[in-house]
Amino acid sequence: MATDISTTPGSHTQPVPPQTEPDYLHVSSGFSSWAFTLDHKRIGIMYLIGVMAAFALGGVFALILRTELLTPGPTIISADWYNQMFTLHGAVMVFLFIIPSIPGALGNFVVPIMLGTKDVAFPQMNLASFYLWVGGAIFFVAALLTGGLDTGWTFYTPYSTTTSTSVIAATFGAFILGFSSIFTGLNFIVTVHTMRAPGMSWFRIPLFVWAIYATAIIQVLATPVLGITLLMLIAERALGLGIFDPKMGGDPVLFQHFFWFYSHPAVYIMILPAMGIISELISTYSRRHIFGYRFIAFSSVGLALLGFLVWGHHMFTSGQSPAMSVIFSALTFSVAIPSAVKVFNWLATMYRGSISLATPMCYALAFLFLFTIGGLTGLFLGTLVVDVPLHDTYFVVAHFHYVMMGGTLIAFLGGIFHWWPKMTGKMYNEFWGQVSSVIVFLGFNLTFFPQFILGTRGMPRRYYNYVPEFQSLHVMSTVGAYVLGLGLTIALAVLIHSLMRGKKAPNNPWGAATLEWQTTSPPPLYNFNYEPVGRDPYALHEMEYDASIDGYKHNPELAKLAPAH
Amino acid sequence: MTTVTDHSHHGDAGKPSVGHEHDAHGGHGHGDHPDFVAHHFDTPEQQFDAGKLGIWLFLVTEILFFSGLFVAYTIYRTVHPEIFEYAHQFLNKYLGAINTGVLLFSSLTMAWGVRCAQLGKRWGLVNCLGLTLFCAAVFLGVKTFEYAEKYEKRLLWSGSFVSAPDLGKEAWGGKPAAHVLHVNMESDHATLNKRVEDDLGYIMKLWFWVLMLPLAMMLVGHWMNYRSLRSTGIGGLIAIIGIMAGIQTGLIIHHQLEPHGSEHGEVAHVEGDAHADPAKSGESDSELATDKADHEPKDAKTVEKELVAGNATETEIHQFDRAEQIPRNWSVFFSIYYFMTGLHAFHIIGGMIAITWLLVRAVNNEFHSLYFGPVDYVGLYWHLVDLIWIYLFPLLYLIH
Amino acid sequence: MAHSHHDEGHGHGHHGFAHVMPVPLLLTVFFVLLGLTWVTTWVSANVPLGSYELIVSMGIASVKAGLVMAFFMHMIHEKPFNIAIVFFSLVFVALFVGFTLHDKFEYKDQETEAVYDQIRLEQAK
Repeated sequence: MATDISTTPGSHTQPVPPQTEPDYLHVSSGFSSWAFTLDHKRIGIMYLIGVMAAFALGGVFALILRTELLTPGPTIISADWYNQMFTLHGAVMVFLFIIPSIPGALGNFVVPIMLGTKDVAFPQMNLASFYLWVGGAIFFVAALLTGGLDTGWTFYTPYSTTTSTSVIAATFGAFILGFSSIFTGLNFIVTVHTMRAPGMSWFRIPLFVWAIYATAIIQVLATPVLGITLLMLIAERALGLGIFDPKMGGDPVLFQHFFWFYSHPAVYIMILPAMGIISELISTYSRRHIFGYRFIAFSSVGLALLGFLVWGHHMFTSGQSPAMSVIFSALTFSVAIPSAVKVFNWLATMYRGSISLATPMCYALAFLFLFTIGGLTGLFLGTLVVDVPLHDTYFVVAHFHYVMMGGTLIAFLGGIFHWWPKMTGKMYNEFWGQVSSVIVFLGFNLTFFPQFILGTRGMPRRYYNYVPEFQSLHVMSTVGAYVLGLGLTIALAVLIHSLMRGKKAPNNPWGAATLEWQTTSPPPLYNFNYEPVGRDPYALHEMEYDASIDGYKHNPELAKLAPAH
Repeated sequence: MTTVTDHSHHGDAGKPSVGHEHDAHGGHGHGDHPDFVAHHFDTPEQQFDAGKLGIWLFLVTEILFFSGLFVAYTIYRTVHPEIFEYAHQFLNKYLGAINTGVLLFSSLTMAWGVRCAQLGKRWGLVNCLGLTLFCAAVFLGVKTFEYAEKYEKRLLWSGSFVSAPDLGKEAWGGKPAAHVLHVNMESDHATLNKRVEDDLGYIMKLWFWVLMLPLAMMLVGHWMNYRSLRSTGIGGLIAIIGIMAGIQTGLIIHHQLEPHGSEHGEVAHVEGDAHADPAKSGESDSELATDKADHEPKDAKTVEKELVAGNATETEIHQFDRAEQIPRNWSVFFSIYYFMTGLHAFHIIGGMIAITWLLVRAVNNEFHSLYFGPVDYVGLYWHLVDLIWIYLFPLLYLIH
Repeated sequence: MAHSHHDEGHGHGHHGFAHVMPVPLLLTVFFVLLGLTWVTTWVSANVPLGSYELIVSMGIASVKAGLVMAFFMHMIHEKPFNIAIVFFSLVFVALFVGFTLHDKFEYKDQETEAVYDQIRLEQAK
């Protein structure tokens, strides 16, 4: 059988130290070398900048909202502006930030390297996906400037077909963003199936890739339905189709079915990649082989598929028939199983591990705490009888912020700090990184925990005004939002500082065993200077610290000494 | 010969890279990496498989995209079957059937084209693609007639014909609403056909001038011995001639069929009995109109006049509709009809653009047994568009 | 899978990983499709099937779709995975239609009642 892989003797691949070719950041320069690049790493970087800008915009909206809610009645903006702010906050955060964030930025950068390939399967389509994102963002900004949007991010009919705000611009923007998301997902599925390096069997794929793969399944299956839904909404509004209009014998509840057929699975588009990141972080910084690899991998796919069966739980109080509500409520509980499988496997990975509290791990621990709260309160809301009083209260707001922000955003930050040295070749200030994670964690809880209490006491979401009894909790929440903003600003400052002053990153500063840490930091244009070969991505015991480079190296001798698990 | 260590001591090796095995043969004479294989692929087969999986996934997104409309159709039909029983008779099922046949034939030529590409038969492929474009143009030509006719009768989507207070005095060129028109269906076929033909004649003239562009490209390419320009010219020429011939054929088909095949007149007839046999055609429109006048009291006539004059109130309109047994909101049928067929037609146009691109590349002789992926992928897309029509046809034209 | 292009050079008449469909097969499929189109149109025009009409015409359409997929779209030679994803997409469409329709059925009657109420109200005017 086999002879060899040209340059690397032995069965395990060594990083090849002498770097002859320039890294991907320096291989070419100038505006067009970025604007027309087909390199997945540069596209990932452009996505990263884009989604961070969108996040900043959505974040400013959030701070305005929280400031407005500091006192009952008018504080800084009018009620109309308040409606527009919460709509745009939701729409920008969901469509422009969370959905593309991890797959578009980190996924694009990391997945092909993790698989040991030169690029994604369809590089042109990858670039098109980024520009579609830009196009969608332009439509959103256009909607903001030409009459705003006050429907809520869900665009429910009949309000969305009658309001005078720029619904068509915003929905068309979301339609375009949908295609961006489909392109990304399609690309990843094909890449995972056809582009893996030799030896990279299905069960040597890192769990982050499994998570992105599961996400891609949802993107491909669910997003087209959003596309047609939004087209129908546009037609309904512009031409008067009558399908969602009760006066014409149509049914507004049908719109909600259409919308949530996409948008519930979309919740898993948001959280699954985050879970993938956490799998990488927990294993790496506990210095232990991931526990229950296949369980985590299959639970990702399981979540993706189960996510399609539960959309009706958004419609318990909006005219859905009681029989369907009961069915959807029952199905909703099933989602808890794969989620819990993951959490327990992460805990088991940490058990007796050598945990290092590096910045990414701090974020990962915050994720575990916040996601668990978010997930468990989701069970409250999935219970039909409990949801009826809690529906459309701050309890729901707190729940999905614990999942989406406490889950996805925190994991995204953890992922950025984890892969930052690989992306930029620079190390950041560890201390301030840790400080940022602690402030974000405290600020987050201060913002959203009071909202659970507000919700159970009956404070409805999306309200401009409230009774004075709620003020103290609202003040806590607003102060928390400022603290959170401060924490995020510090995190950003740490990253920017590292670009200017950071010391050069070694190839493998964390001792991770996945392929992207075996190539140089930053990687060359085609990712590897050698032929990569797939092997166990969590064999951390094979990594040996080398003080001379302040990083880790692979030592095949260790593989023989230590047990695999 | 180099092969790849597959680390079988771990048990489950991944897909081995076959790149070196293939290149070892040096079969293409292109050296290490044939130039039809993109840099990040190792072998033509890997490239083909990736493209194939990609196009299937794209088709999956298309299926789910259209599924939204099928769900809307199903729901609306379940709740209001009477609307579909009533309104589908405004569609000419024979035109629908002919268009189905045309699309099926285009699928055949497309499949044949894939075969030609696989066998490296350059001109066979060019012919097949040209025929496919021709069929697409026939389809759209016939569709144009169908749309134009409905437009004339104001059989439009709900929003444009039941804007409640303005019923009867539609803003569109002062024409009365379809509510009224469909009962006096003597609307002049000859004038209508003349107008549509004039419009299509105008479009043909446009196409004729567009023809100059590829012609010029071909000639310049020929003189300057610039191969790809010449191929683009020839490909474009074939495409445009195919499209023009298609439009002409669509015209002829409509000519042959329309005066006899029209079923609109029956509407008044069927109203009395929703389950009446709709195929009973042959009576002229005027006959039906008198038939109607006989069997309906004056009441309806008066309202009709008021409708035409634009004086009818909403209640009167509803009363009129009830007397005529016209289901409420029947215009939603046309909303669904236009949305579904319009989106489908949009996909046809997209396919035509893709096929023209293939045609140019085929003339340029770029496809062979190791690189025919693009033809195959566009072919799959084209068959899917055909598949959607295979379902649209009975759902909209046949079922009552 | 086997790499069939190993023993074949690049040239006309040879085909690597391609599955070439014979012309007679393509033609046969086309004429069967045409025949089915004729049948479904004729039945719709001449045979009053009543409530079975939906089943018959959808059945014929599905047979046609099956033929197109199997032969024109080369599904008979396709990789099992590619067939599976199309199958799965149809499962999800069924899910979408099924749940939505089931929900609609639950309150369809109430809605129809409301429409009748409205008509009665208008008649009373």
